[in-house]
Amino acid sequence: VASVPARFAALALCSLPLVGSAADDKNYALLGQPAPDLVARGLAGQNVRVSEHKGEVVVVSFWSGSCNTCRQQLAALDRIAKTYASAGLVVIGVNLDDNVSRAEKFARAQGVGFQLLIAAPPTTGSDYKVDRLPMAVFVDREGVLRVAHREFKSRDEATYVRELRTLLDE
Amino acid sequence: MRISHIVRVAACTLSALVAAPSMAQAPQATPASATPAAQEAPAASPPAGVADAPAGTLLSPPADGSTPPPAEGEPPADTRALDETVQDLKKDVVDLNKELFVLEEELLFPANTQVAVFVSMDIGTFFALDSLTLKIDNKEVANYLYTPREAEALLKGGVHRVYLGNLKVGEHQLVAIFNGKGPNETDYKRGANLKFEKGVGAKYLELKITDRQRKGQPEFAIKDWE
Repeated sequence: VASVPARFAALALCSLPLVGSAADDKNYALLGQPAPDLVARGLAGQNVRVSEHKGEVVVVSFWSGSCNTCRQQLAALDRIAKTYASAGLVVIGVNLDDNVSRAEKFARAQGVGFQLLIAAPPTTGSDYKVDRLPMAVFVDREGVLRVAHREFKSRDEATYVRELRTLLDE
Repeated sequence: MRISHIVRVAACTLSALVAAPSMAQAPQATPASATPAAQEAPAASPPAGVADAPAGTLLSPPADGSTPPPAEGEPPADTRALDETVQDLKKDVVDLNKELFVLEEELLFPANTQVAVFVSMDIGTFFALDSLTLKIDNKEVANYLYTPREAEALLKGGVHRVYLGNLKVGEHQLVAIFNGKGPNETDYKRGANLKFEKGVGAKYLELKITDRQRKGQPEFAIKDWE
């Protein structure tokens, strides 16, 4: 029963960004600030902590099982992760559903190669100021949050690559 | 004394940051553009005498006694000085940060109420630590998930401060709940508790995870450091 409102909330979040583009969000409050630490259990059973990847460029993608655009974003990030992993890129997908078992099932169905975190702490959404899904933030090698993307369209993959290459080259 | 030093370093940092752009711009403020003739000259044209000199020829210093240009590949003196200033400032900032950290700890956790809880692990053959929940006087004060790297660091002899807080003088109870993988990769959950007396000094408690070879089981204990 508890998962129903969560599902509605996730659907509402996904439907919000149907207008507008998925360009960088310059108004994101955390830009230029150290990325909040986040630790959660990974799909493989191991705990993953974002701050442990200092020195690497980290993409944190927030997603929900009831969001179609999230699938496309996860697939795009998987392609990018495979290409740039050797250059020091780490991609972490964070599920924000309340229903953990459903989220786990969905996550396994995605078949992505990077870490997918489920059962993230309840404060994760507010810590990262997630107000719509999917949302992705790019953290530079110093641990500073540099880019935020709300929404996702297929053409955004090229934008992601361009921005990530800039961060990887720093 | 310490505060005045911090204020002094902060003021120094600010003044240097304000001064830095002007220092960097100083060489550009040459009077080349001050004369009308120079303004009319095309921007790309070299100064008189330079165009005729063969490539690689060192020009003689100006006759008016001004500073000669630096050799090729060597940064100008101004840049070197600026770089040294920046390095000094960086060092000051690091020192300042260290002092602020100590001050913050002293203010937030004074010794007479301070309680710190540490986690250590020995061998780890029978237990792989995944998470730890800490309760003091039935109130959850810490819940920590250990990543494989952190667990490995503990196995290498590292000690993790999982909690730092304040408690009043008197008797208190600490409960630690350990989650992880036990022997044969089974899910394992165990607890340990300790009643301790908080005195006027700081209190340090250690959660020790050790292997009990004879039983083939892990052992969880809480040690009270006097």
